[in-house]
Amino acid sequence: MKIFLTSAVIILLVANVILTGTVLFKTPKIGYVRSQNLIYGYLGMKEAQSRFQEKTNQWQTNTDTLRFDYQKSLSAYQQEYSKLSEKERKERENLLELQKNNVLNYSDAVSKKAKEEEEKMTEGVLNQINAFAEEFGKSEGYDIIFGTTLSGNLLYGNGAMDITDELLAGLNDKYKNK
Amino acid sequence: MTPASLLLSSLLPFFMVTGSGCTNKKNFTSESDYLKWLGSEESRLGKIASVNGFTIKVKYMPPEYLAWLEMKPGAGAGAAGNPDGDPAIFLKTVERYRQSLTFLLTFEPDETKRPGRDVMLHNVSDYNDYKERFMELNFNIENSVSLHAGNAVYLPVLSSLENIYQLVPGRNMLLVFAPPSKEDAAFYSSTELDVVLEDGIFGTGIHHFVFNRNDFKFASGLHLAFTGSATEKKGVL
Repeated sequence: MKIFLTSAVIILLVANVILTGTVLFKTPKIGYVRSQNLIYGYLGMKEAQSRFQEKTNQWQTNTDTLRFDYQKSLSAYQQEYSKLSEKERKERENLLELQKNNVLNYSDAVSKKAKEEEEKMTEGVLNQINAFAEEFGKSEGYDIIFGTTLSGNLLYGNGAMDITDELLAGLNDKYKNK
Repeated sequence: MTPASLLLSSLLPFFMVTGSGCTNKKNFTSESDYLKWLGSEESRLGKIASVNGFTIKVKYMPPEYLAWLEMKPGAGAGAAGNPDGDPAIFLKTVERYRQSLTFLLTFEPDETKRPGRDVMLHNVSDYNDYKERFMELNFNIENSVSLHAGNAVYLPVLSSLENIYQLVPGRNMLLVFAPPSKEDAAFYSSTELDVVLEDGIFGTGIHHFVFNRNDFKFASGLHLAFTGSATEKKGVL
């Protein structure tokens, strides 16, 4: 009976040590992605960039139209200058000044808006990528997923640990609602 | 029967969606049960995206359900109502709703990341920010949502933000899309319907919620029926 109890205790102790060792010294599953490839290969980024480009093109067209109108008014004024009285010149100059300010103000407002829109666009895309990377990491059992960046936080990674293509494929499938 | 069980038995079957005749078989015990099914993966009528601590849901609203909402007893002011439970009136209403497509868009905080935090207050630091958010969600959502069917793009003809006075942290918004003409083939025949949301408020990016029109048929084939209430006798549906 005593031998039996001693054996049971030893077996339990050994099992405990193995279990603790497995938990403590488990090799973490690590992968890395080439961040630039992931971001610019992502369909969500491509669509966001294309939409942003459409908006900026429209703003640019509006700015060009305002600028063209101003140039036209300025040329007309220069051509008619000699025929105008002092009072008329003053009035036309005031109008031109107003028109010029409108062009500058619109151009400034558009630049500010474009900057904000670009920030929003990038934020949205990065948040989508981060959310999917988290989901992917959990479902595939990754402990850590590194991202290579231009600032060089990861100097070398074995190609076998490069999961960029896998992650990008899943990300794009999700974007397309597959 | 105890008063409690009597109350329970009268409340539970208030709204039932049951199969009958040639219609689809599906049983629900309540309206909320039905709505839950509509938003589930099983029905394929609800699509979900979770990004940046927010969950965005888009749920297809079948014409039959919208007609029921309009005609149920106690429907709000302006609702047509159907006091005599005339099936012809109900079918006419359903037909009217079939001319358009209605979706319920929901913004909610992801409970694991932003528990209980009101979406209206995200990145809001003062009254002006709040006002801007309010205006954006109430009057500008048309600039952020579109429906793509075939090669055509449709903007919502109507959007309505549910005002819930901060009782829950999420917000619902009904979006109605309608074509410019009744002969619009892309709108009425395209199998794939893509609701695109370009979110500029919650930093979640562009989303595609793709629906298959064939999935709408099952929901439309469900026969809605009431049991255990006065409305059943009136035969509203």
